[in-house]
Amino acid sequence: MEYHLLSDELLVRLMRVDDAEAFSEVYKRFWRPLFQSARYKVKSEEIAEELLQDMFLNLWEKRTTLQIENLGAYLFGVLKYQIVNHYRALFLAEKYADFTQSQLDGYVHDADLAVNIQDIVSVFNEVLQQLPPKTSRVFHMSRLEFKTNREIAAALDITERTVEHHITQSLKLLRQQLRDFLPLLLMVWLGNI
Amino acid sequence: MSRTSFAALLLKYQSGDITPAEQLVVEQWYALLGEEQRELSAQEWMDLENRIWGKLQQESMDDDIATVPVKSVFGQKIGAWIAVAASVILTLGFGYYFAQTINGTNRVSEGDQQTLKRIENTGLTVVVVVLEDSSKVFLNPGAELRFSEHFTNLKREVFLNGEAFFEVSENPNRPFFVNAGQITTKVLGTSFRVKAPRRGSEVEVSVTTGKVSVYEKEKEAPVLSSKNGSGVILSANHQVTFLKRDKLFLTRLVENPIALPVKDKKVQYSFNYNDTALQKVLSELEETYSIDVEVERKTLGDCPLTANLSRKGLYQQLDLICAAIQGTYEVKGTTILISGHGCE
Repeated sequence: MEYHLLSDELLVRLMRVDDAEAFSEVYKRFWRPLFQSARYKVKSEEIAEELLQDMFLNLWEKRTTLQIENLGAYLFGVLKYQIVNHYRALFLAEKYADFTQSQLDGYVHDADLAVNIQDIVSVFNEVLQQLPPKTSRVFHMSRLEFKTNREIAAALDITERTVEHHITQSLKLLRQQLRDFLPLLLMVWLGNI
Repeated sequence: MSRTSFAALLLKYQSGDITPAEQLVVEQWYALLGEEQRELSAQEWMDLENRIWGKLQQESMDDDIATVPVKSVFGQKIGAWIAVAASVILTLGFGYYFAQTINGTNRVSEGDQQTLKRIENTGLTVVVVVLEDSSKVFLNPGAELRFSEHFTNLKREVFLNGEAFFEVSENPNRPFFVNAGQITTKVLGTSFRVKAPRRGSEVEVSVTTGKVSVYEKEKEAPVLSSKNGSGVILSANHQVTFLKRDKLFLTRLVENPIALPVKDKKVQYSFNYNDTALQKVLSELEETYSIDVEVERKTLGDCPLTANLSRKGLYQQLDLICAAIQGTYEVKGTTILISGHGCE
C-alpha cells in the first residue's frame, strides 16, 4: 500500500488494527515539526529527542484505544502535555534540592497554595495589561490563536514587518516581567542543565 | 516558592481541574517558551530521524515495531514517559499517628446508605475508624467513608471521599479494596494513604509500607505485565496520581520518604561508613527506603565514602553523599539519579 498517500484519518484507523506501517508513516509525517517545536520550547536537542521517543512509543502502545479526530492537533497536544511535564519536573527539582530547608519551614497547606496560584494569575494579568492594545492583540493572535504573521497582517491591516515588531516587543517585555516563571534563570541556577 | 506554586499550577492544568483564568495563564506561559535554535543540517535531520526511530524499535522491547505489533511495556516505560511528576498537594506530615479516636470534638454522623455504614468526619481532627477485620482507617476532616459492617468472605471493600490513611490488617485470602473517585486500590496488608477530593479530578494514593495495586474502577486488578496499562503497582514510599482527563497514572516518590519498618527489611543498616564504596552505600539506601538509585556513570560507584549518615532523612543523606563526592542528585520520576565526575 502507498502509505504516504493515505490521509491522517485513515492512518489512525489502520494503527488501531495494529498496522505497524501506518505507525511508521505517522512518524515520518510528524516527527520533524514536533521535534522542531520541542527543541524550540525546551532548548535542548537531547530532551526534545526523549520527549519524541516517549510520545511515539506511547502512541503505539495506546493505538487500539485512541480516539483521535485530528492527528496533528492530537500529537501537538501530547507534546504540549509533555513539555508542561518537563518544566514541572524542572521547577520541582529546585524544591527538592532545597528540601532540608523547606522541611524546617514546615509544609505548605492547600489553602496557601490556592493563594499562591491566585497571585500568579494576577501577576500574569497585570503584565499582559501593560502591553499596548495592538501589541497585545498581535501577541494573542500569534501565540494563542496560532495565526501566521501574514494572516495577522491582513486581519489588522498592517505590514508583516510591523507584526514581527509587535511580537518581538511583546515577547521581550513578557519574558522580562515573567522571568520568575520561565526556565532561563532556573537553568543558570542549577548550573548544569 | 513561586516556581513551586507554578509547578502546582501546571499539575492542575494537566489534570484538567483548572479555572479558565488559570488555564489562560498556562497557555500564555507556554506561548512564551522557546527561543530560536541553530539550524540543523540535512545530515543532522536524517541522523535524528533514524536515531529516534531506532530507539523506538529498541524501546518497544525485542519486537520490531515495523513488522510485529509491539508488546506493552507498561511498568517499565510509563514511569519514564511521564517523567518526574510534581508532588503538589502536600500532605500534613505524619500527624495522623497522633490522631484522636472518636470523641466529643469530632461529630461523626452515621447513616445507612444501601446497607452501607457511612461515617463522615465533620470535626477538625483525624478520626480513627476500626473496621470489622481490625483494619484502621484514619479519616481526615471532611472525609467520608462507606463500608459494610460485615465483609464478605471474598473481599473487604470500602468507599472513600476525601483523604484517609489506611492500616490494613494482613489477610491474603480477603483482599482489601478502596474505591475512591475513578480508581480502585487493592491491598493485601499494608499501610497507605488515599486522597480523593470531592470535586477535584485527581485521586492520589501514597504507600507507607507494603505494596498496593491501583487501577481504574470497574476494571480487573492488573497483573504486573498489564497489557493496556490501566493501573500501577506501588511499593513503599511511592505515590501515584490518577489524572481523570488523560486516564493517566503519574507515579513518583512521596514527599518525604521514610525508612521501612525493620520487619520488612533483611538488615538494619548502621549508615556509618568508612571508606565504603558508594555502590554499597546506595544499595543500602535503596533497600532501606524501597527506592531506586542510579549513578550517572559506573565509575561513580567505586568512589570511597566516609560519612555518618545515621539518623537523617533520605534527602539529607543524599545531600551529604553528594557533598562528599562533589556530585549532584535529581529525583526523576521514582528514581534518584546521582551525577558527578567520579573520583580521580
